[in-house]
Amino acid sequence: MDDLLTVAVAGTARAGVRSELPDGPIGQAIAHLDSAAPERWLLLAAGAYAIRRRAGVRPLMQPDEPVRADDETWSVAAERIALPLGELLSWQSSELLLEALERLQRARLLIPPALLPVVLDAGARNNAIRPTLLGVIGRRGRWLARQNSDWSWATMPDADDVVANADTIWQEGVHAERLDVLRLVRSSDPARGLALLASTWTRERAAFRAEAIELLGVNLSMEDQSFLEAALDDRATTVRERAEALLVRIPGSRPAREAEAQAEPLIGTRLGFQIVVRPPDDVEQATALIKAFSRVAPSHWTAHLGKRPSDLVKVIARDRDWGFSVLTGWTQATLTFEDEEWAAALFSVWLASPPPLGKAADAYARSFEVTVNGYLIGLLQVMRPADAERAVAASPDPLRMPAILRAAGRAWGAVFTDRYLRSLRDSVERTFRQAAVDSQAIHAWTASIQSATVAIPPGSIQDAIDLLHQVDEIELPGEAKFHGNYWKESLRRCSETLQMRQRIDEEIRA
Amino acid sequence: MDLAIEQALALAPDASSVTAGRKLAKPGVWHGLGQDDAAFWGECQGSKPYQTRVDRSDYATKCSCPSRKFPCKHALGLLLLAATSPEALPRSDAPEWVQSWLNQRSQRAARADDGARAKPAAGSTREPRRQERRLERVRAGVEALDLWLEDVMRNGLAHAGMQPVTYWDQPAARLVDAQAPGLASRVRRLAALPNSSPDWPVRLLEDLGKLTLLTHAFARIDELDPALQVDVRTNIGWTIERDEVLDRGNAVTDEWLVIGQRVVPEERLRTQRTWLIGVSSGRTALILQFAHGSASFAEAVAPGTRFAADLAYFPSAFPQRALIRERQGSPRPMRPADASTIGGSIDAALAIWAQALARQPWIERIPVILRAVVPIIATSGDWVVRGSSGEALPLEGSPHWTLLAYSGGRPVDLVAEWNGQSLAPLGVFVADEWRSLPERG
Repeated sequence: MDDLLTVAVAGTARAGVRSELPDGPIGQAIAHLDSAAPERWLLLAAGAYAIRRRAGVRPLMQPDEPVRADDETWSVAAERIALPLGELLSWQSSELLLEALERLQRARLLIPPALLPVVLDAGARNNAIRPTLLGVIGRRGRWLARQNSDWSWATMPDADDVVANADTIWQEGVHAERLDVLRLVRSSDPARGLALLASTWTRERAAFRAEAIELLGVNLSMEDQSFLEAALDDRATTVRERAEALLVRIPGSRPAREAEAQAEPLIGTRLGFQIVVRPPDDVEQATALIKAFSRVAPSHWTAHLGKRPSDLVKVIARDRDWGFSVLTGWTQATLTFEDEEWAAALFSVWLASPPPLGKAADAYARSFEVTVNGYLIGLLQVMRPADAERAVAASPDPLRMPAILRAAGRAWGAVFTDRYLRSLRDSVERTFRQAAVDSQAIHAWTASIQSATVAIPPGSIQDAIDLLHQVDEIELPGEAKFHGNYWKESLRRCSETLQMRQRIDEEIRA
Repeated sequence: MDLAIEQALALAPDASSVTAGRKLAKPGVWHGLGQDDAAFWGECQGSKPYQTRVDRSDYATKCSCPSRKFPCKHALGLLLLAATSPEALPRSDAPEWVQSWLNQRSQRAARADDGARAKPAAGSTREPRRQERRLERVRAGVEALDLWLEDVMRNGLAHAGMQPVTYWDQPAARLVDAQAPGLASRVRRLAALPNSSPDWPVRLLEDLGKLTLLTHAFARIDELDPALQVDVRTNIGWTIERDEVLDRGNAVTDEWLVIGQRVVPEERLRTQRTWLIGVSSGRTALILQFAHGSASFAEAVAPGTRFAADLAYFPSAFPQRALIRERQGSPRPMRPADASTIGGSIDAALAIWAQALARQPWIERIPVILRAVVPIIATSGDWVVRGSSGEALPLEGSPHWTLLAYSGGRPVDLVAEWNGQSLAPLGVFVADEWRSLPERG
């Protein structure tokens, strides 16, 4: 064939045709064509070669045994979950997808193989779903990911492996890997984390020291005190500041005692039951007050003022000038020190009777609502689950709660769910009993439902769907048609989301 | 369950229909759902309810919506619903709008059969003269092609490789005029070869050679075996009437497994290749269908199903293409045990391929069922499937992640089209159940 090709490329006009026949069966097959034009002879010989080559194709050799994915320890979910899961992957928001994946994980089920390439792609696009996906792609998923560089996110070693190899990673890893390993070690074995950091501290660059020292905030304790105190003399300002901020959180440390000493004169009791605030002599009095209280463990005030947190916050909330500032300082401290009891007390007061801004008006006037909601969300995360459930159920305004619960990542209790649906129904009915449609009210409960759709517990989903269906059936007065159709459309989307959650609930069960 | 999700999804004309269909695969959006032995039906809620019905004998659908896709999203939704929750469609008597459609369909089928039988008689007096005129034209066209081919050789492939597309299009157009469309498309395909790969001169020479073998065979067609004569004529561009195949084609009655399907979109036409294998005969068959735009294919054959039928094969020295002459009963999902007797090793598949070429040298592809092969990415980065002794065949294009995911490095039974160079995966048996593989990924 090589001879034929040489002639064919150059052309018979230039190269002529070799007259000798190729050996073997091909030669015999075209022997009778000798009389044909040289070009035709060439083409027919090439054709015969081509067919022979096609017919005689031999397999390649791949001597190496393929690497197998390890056997799974969990079962693989039924392939029927591919339908809802496939649909969820195409949704804008990943909230429901995460819910479905978490359910799979709780049921100890893995993503079916056919869906693995799709979810690995989804993980490559969306960081937020990676940790959850890693729990359900199984060994097959990791095995697959190792073969595609786009999916390297799924080949991260397990946290356990990282901790086991912490010393090596700490010595040899790059910036981000070292910070990761320090974070992981601190959460499982704080003393070992401190030892790691101390072992190389003097050789680290300032930027790394500043980031690493912050990680001592994970499981911070008295053990870290002497290291942090030494860091108060660090060459870098950020390191010094961060060390001080951490020390403030260690009861009994010098900065903590200083912070207490600084804040104590600002508040006191009078006649045994009154609380008096004495703002510091500062230009920005409110800001200084907040800062002073934010640096002191709230439990200090329980002892110092001899009152329970719930009593203290109630009394302070009535101070029209300084109530807001003191509560803000205490709230920030509660979030830093993660004080469950104070969180419950503060949550109630912020929810039911937040004090006026008073002297803090300049700093907070524009963001009062956002600020208070932020406190509520943060406090909910610190509170004990039972306290949180009780406080939410007692909320004076249930329609406001879904957004806060959603942001705090807190589940709905049965009592609250029931109250919520009832007040939603009341609110809807009230709106439509009035002669003129109150668009403000509609906006409020529409927004509330939108947050609620992703959080209502499975047992109550059908009730919510029924309610939305009733709303959809309501005939709108002429002047409300335009806006009405708009929010009916958004309610229909909520309904779709709820139905999807119902499907997830039915198809993925532990 | 008598309809699998796979089957329902395989009927979808495109991906967006699948998404839309999935949303409608819930009982909540339907009224008056029902089924009997012949059909599924329901009315899809919306601003205006649409009446949707499915004929269970071949999964043909009809909907009162204005969509121009077939099946529409409502029909797909109904099919998916029937596949996932058949209990949502209670057994009941078909309403009038379902029954009348089924009646129309069976009447139309009967008329088509009658028409088919009547046709040859009507045109018979003019037919031979027309045939003769065409033969003359094709002869002239083939002669011109031979001259052109020799010309290409005289000037050499290096010269041909520098020519514009018109160099190939003009002789192709002349062959269309000469009523030899098969040759025309072979010539047109040559245009893509120059400079397409490092070994393009060999590939071009081989294709020119095979083309010349075809014109050579045509010149002495009377000396050939009658079956091979048909192959030569088919490759040149003669078509065989459906009715002729249905009436006179070699008929095989069997339980047929639908082991794979590939739809190839071209400019305006979509070509669907569906591969069947007979449970008792072990014979493979190709159901070839064409459809314009997003229209549905006339015969609904869902991959992953099995059905009893008479197939009529088109005449050929290596018969592959066939028509479904008569179905017996409705399709059902393939059973796990169905697959246990079919297929073989890579060497066995290559032996069948060699036999096929020996009998019909211009054959383009055959279906193969490879037992216990492992898909791997070779160190070269190429995708291959590997047999138990390390023998391997390349996979067409890349990537094939779904196939890889199914296998997990373990042996699977693969259904693919083999074209002499690479395997185009169609489906895979996983724990003896058949799964279709997407074209990409």
